[in-house]
Amino acid sequence: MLLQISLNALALGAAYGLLALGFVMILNATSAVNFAHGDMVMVGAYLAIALHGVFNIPGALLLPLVMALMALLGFVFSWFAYFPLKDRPPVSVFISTIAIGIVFQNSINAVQGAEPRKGPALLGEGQLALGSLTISEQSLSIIGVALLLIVAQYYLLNRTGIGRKLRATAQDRPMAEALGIRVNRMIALTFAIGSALAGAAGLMLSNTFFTSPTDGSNYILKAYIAVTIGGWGSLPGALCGALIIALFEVVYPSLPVLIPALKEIAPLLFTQTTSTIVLYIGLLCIMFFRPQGLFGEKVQKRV
Amino acid sequence: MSAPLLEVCDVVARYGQIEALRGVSLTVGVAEAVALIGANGAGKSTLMKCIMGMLPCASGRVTFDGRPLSGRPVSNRAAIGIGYSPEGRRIFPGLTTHENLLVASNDRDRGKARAEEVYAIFPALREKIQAMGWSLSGGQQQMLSVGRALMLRPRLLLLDEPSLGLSPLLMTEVLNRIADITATGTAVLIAEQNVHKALSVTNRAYVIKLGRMLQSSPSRELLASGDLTSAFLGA
Amino acid sequence: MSGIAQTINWSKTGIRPLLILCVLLLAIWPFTMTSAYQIRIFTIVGIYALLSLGYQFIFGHVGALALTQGTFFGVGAYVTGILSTRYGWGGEYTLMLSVLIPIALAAMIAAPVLRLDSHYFALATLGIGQVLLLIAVAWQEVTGGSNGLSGIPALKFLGMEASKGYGIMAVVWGFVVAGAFLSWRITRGLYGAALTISRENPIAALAIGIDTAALRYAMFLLSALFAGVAGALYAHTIKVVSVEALEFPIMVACLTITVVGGRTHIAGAILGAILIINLPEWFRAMEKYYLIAYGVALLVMIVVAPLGLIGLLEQLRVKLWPEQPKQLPAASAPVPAPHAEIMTGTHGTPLLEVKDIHKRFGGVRALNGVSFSIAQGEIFGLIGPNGSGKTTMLNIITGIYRAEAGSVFLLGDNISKKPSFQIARSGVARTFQNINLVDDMTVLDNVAVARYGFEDAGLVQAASAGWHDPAWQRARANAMFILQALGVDLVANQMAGGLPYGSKRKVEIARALALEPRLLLLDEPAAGLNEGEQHDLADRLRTFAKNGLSILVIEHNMPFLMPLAQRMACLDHGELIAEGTPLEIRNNPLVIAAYLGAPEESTV
Repeated sequence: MLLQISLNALALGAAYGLLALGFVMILNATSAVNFAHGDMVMVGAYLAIALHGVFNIPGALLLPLVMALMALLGFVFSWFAYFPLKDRPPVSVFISTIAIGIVFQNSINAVQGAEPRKGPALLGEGQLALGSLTISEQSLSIIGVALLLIVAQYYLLNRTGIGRKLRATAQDRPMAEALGIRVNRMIALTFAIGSALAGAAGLMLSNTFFTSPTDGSNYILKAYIAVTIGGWGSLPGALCGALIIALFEVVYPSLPVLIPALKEIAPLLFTQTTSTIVLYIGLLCIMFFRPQGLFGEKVQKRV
Repeated sequence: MSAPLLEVCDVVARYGQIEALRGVSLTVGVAEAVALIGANGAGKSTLMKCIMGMLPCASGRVTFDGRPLSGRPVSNRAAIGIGYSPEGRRIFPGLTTHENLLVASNDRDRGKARAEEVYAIFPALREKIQAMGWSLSGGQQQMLSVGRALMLRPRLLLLDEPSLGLSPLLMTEVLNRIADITATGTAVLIAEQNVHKALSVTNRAYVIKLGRMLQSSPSRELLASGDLTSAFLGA
Repeated sequence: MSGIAQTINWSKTGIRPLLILCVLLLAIWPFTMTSAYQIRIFTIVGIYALLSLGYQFIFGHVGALALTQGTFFGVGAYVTGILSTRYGWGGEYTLMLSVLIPIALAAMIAAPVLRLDSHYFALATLGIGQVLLLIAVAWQEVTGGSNGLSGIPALKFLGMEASKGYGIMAVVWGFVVAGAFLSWRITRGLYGAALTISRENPIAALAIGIDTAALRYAMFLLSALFAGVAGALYAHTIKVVSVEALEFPIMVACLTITVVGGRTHIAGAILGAILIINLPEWFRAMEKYYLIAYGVALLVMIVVAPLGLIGLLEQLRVKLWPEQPKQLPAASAPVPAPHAEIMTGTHGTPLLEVKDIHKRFGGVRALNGVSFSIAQGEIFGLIGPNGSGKTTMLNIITGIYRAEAGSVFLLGDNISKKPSFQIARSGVARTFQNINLVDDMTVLDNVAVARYGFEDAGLVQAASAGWHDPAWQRARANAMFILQALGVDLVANQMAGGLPYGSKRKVEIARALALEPRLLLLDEPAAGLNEGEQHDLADRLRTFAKNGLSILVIEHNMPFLMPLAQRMACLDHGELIAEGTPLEIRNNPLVIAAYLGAPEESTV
């Protein structure tokens, strides 16, 4: 039972991790919060569903196409939401990304309707028997594919020339420019990569959790919480934060099953709803007591 | 005498309404080491930024290798042969020493070879190849900053206040390399507050005060004369 | 001039006739409506106008992107809905609680999140909205769950009922007028000026004694108040409350209205509401896509016209019909503040004593055990090469940084742990290297706002003042006096942004003097001034010192500083290497070495 729960948490954490990674990359490169990132996840999911309708192949094979299309979307997105506002205070970009997020949400709503839809599984939706345990095929596939993508992202950023340039641009843009790096291209590329990762997360999450046009707000908050816990601006921190959220979301409502005594004491305290509430309250506490999270530098406080 | 490599002609630059440069001119010859000295706020960094294109020139012109620099984007400077080590060093904190060097080059193989040459100039960096930028000491960061600017074999190296925040010993170590650098054919323009050191490693010097060029002479002569103190501390 | 004549005069200036015409048209419009539906839409427009008016406080005037306005609205709606349907409470109680509960919620949230930077704050407020939405859905017994509550009665206040249609519409628009009036009151005088500088230049605001945190807090709570009222009225209008009241589209509409209309203009909230709420009505085809239109409108506006439509109109008006400059007040000397009096028995106590200050930034030692003191009425010069720690020292004295060790004493009083704005109010004033005036305020207003701490200004005071804010009038009169003393009174009505550099410097010093300081800290005051201006400044500073003001001057310009300072100190690499008279400093070999480098070091 515990293994079942752990595996589910790991799978969820991996998917959240992709979403949080993309968010942090864009944050580092532009110092601006991309509010539409959560909606990118949702768009990725709907894209996967649409493509699955055309080519009836498993999600794992659709994944490269979804990511490529999402990368293109991210690139175009940066043209509208970021570049016209790059010299303005970061709050302007926040608003412009809110605006485009609204457009995404409601365009999908207009085309597809508001009911939740189920996305394609990566490989299969069955259960695998491993000795005395039954493990969901989807959970395993998510863990595998997400791990692959995280490793690929790590390799890209840390072992390639272009990855170096992306990191340099994110750390000190004017200096990068003075060294001859084409920083605008780097930023557009960052948006593309971040959106591709978001789209992948969307595809993965849509099978177990379904997807609906308004999911965006929920996902952006997950990204935000992950990054706050892990430390604003830290990539490994974002992954840790994502895992912690997933653990919490999966384990917390299951506590009464693991510890039956809790069922008598406070049955209402362990529903899905209350777990979210407790998570947010926990987040507020973290922000109050340790705003820099696990790996982050000291948060800039207003003087 | 051959045409100068860098020519700055009557440049005027403003921050808002303050005239930071009131019509300054200087030249740097091929493989020459030139110092730009002056008190804080005199306009040294401003002039560097104008040459780099990070600050627009209200009037006047800057020419490099006979071609005007105005209108070119900042990122073009590296391509045409100008290397820049800014005030405060600004190495990338999240990149290792080696990555800081490689990110400045375009070609993988040539980059690796060139990095080796940089380590030869600054052997102290070799021990810190895999260290993260933020963990380096001030002196190591300064060496890295200069080495990074040298990666594309620039014809002109701009050094903005390399001694800032460095102990006298470290500063000496860094500035003594300038001779090695010019020996390989790279001209150096160094803006410095530490007058004595700057004059001892350069051929010529310009003295700038409150946005105007006061004088230009061979460094040895300026060192010998005593009137620098008044330029800085008043009569 | 009599009140009536004043009002007539006021209404004739600038575009005010146009404004008055618009207001009249707006008042007449509902009477041209033929269907109950149109009246209902107009009522909803009013509700959103009220919501946006409230949002302007936190988003426009403070400049913080809060995403809680929709949440407070929803909470207000639910409180009214629950109390009136389940408990049958009358309007007096439900309205009051619909206001108090959102305010209490805002007060609870504000503590951890309000002090954080924009992106933290915005997302945190979004999170809170999500939590409340979840609670509304889950807490079925009270909130009716996903179906919500229906059958909300009409608004009944003290026995009087607001009838369907025109009745409730009148009530709503009555609140809009009241809200607009309150907003105008709060933002027009001294408090409004304090809000502006806190938004545009928070460090300068703290340096002139404004508690920016308290301002942000008050405006956040005020926005919750307006949202609560709007929510309550919404429940009474559509007679139903469901989770839709807490969902994101309401926040989107509010944000769009505020951005499109103009985030600091009262007319903007109303114009924005009219346009945005009617958009799906006027373009019926848009009904399914109206939110997409909102998104596009928001994007276009933020890129092209961030100040909103009214902001654009205002810019146009300034070009076409420049307003006559406001009449300058007669100068009036400020009544000396208690702290400005030199206390007897303190002669001999140094005015400022800095003891053994240590400060590091990361691994760098910025200040390493620096101590010095300044006597009353003394001019003290602080010099040192770039990076030696001079500005850091200034920031520690004024409370912007905290030292790791050591203390700062002001006339024997330990100010090391005091917040920045309190240190300013204790009589420590400063200027900045990069002049920190508010470009879009007049010279007079820039100086007048520094009188904030002297006037007992606050939200209540601003709201209850009459047609003219007496605190603001006094502040401006005092500012006039100071401007005259510095010889910049002729530019009092000009925008600070357009002044030549030398004048800006003088205005900044005037602003510092408006604090009636005992200690004036000047950071490179001679930078950018020509020789004549430098002499003028030096003369004025000498006069101030003779009158008892202690002055600390950081400078690189030695010809300016040497004749002026009575004593000097030199910093190098965070250490105090020399202290003495200007002549002693000038000839001190350590000082010379710090600036030029020691001659010995040139040997390779």
